[in-house]
Amino acid sequence: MPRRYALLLPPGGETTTIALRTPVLQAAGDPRPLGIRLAQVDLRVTGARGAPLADLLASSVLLLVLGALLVRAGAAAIVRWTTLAALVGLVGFASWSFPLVSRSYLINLATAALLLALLTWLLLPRLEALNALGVPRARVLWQIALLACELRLIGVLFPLFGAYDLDLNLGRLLRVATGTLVATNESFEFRGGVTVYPPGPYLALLPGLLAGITPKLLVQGGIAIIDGLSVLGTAGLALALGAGWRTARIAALLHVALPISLTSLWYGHAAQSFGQALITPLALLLLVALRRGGRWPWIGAGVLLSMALLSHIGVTILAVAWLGLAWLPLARTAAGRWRAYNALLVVAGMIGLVFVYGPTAALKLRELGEVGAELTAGGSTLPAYPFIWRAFTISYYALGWQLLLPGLLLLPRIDRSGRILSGAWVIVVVIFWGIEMLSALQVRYMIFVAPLACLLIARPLAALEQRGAAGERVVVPTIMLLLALGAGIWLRGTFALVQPSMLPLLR
Amino acid sequence: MIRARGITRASLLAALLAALLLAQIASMRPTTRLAADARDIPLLSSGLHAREDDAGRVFRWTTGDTRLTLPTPRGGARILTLWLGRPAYRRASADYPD
Repeated sequence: MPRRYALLLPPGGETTTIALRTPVLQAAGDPRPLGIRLAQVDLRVTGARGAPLADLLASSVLLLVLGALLVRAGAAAIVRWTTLAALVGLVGFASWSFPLVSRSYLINLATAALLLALLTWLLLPRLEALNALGVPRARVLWQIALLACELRLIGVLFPLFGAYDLDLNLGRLLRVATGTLVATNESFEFRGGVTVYPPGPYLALLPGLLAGITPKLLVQGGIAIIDGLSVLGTAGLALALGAGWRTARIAALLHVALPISLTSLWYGHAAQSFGQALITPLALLLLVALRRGGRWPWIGAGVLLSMALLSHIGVTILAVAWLGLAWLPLARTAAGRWRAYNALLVVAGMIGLVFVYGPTAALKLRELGEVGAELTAGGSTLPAYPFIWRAFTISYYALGWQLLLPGLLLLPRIDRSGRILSGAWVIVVVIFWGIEMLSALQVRYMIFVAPLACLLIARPLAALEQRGAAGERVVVPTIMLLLALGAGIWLRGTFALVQPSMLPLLR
Repeated sequence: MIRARGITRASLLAALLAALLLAQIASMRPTTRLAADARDIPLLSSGLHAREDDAGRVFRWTTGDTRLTLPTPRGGARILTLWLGRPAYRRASADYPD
């Protein structure tokens, strides 16, 4: 039974540090120095006179800055009031349920709100200036992007949450910071083969260390914001493929709480999320370049492809397969654009080879020769087929999965370059699905196709919404339900450490 | 550009409401408690070993130099209560006065 020692201390600040210094003993067979057995510490403040100033300041900054952001983004009054009420609820929930860490949580959230304000100041005017979009639609999309970022940040900035692979990511960040730019490791996905970990995501995050952000917050928060902003690309893709504004808006909304994106964040697949976020902007720039030509879209696409190749080997494999498949059909486009496409592939490929994959290419080629060896030797290499099926249904919401095929049928006719790029995107997924079915080798094709999946799910919902008030009465609650389901999995995962299903990522 | 007019009545009201809520919670919960099995311990302490279980009683051995940092509400004097088991050096040495 522990003994209880009570001490009266004078009034003090908003933080109390207790030091326990004792002699120690080392027991036989136990190398640890052992002092005393600590069971519990209570600190009672007599005549408590209100919340600590730091908590009040942080919650005020959070609410005032986000309120201002919502006004700047043109949010309707109902959206502003609902969001602010939800945030007041979050402040109360955190202070009541997690009193020991609520202060650092509120400070994290307030800092993130200031960062989102900076992003709004930098990016929203540029979005509004896009002729294809117009100011009101740009603002709606920015509101959706803010929602996506906030949802992710509410989870990753919670001090007691650490993504499953956080330690691996922190190790890679610190290795990159100290000059080790290419890391290799054995990987489950490659059935024990060696995987390369390119430095791209960590190099992109490094400037944050100079701003004094801790590595944990930098990796988790930085990737959360990048992943959140990727909903803009999803909407842009829907518009570029001629699916219309309603589909674009709904697709972006569905991406806000898409289970596979949030699951990827929960497990800390930071590099994958970073590389994946580049794929949709890359597709958009390629579409612009192939349709209108011009130097800057090609240069932009080249930069994005190079960054994607330097981010994650899975993203590299999928991106190379996708653009490789589109290569031959695109040969019939205008000669100048065909040459530019070839130059894009060669330059980005060289950058990837020289900076990351070259040194390990021989190793990977040797491994390539061993693919299927286990299969021919009669080893058990077949995947668990029900898991693959289940992974699809989890990844894009159970209801969303059922809407994919109607969405495909409802897609409008699009121009040739759009058909080739989106078609190659889908075919790559089918090919890698087939490879998994035959050999159990996994590349994360389900997250690769997530933006297209959102578009396809959104299409039938948009068609329904178009049918007046009755359609809206069905579609709006459906979208809210899907968002609540996705957000529920994410928030239970981050606050209560309820592990989301890993099937969308690994089977 | 985010202008001052962006700070609306709704934001001010929300900030005020949050402040009242925090004050209310602080007055309802004047005691800060850190138990050996709390998830928060690694963030708020240094010099503690991993949690152990002794017939249902959870505890942690200190390393001899332990620091605990607790956020506390504003107010008057504080009462610190430590729930401690018998020290290792007392358990090991029969000569040591109990």
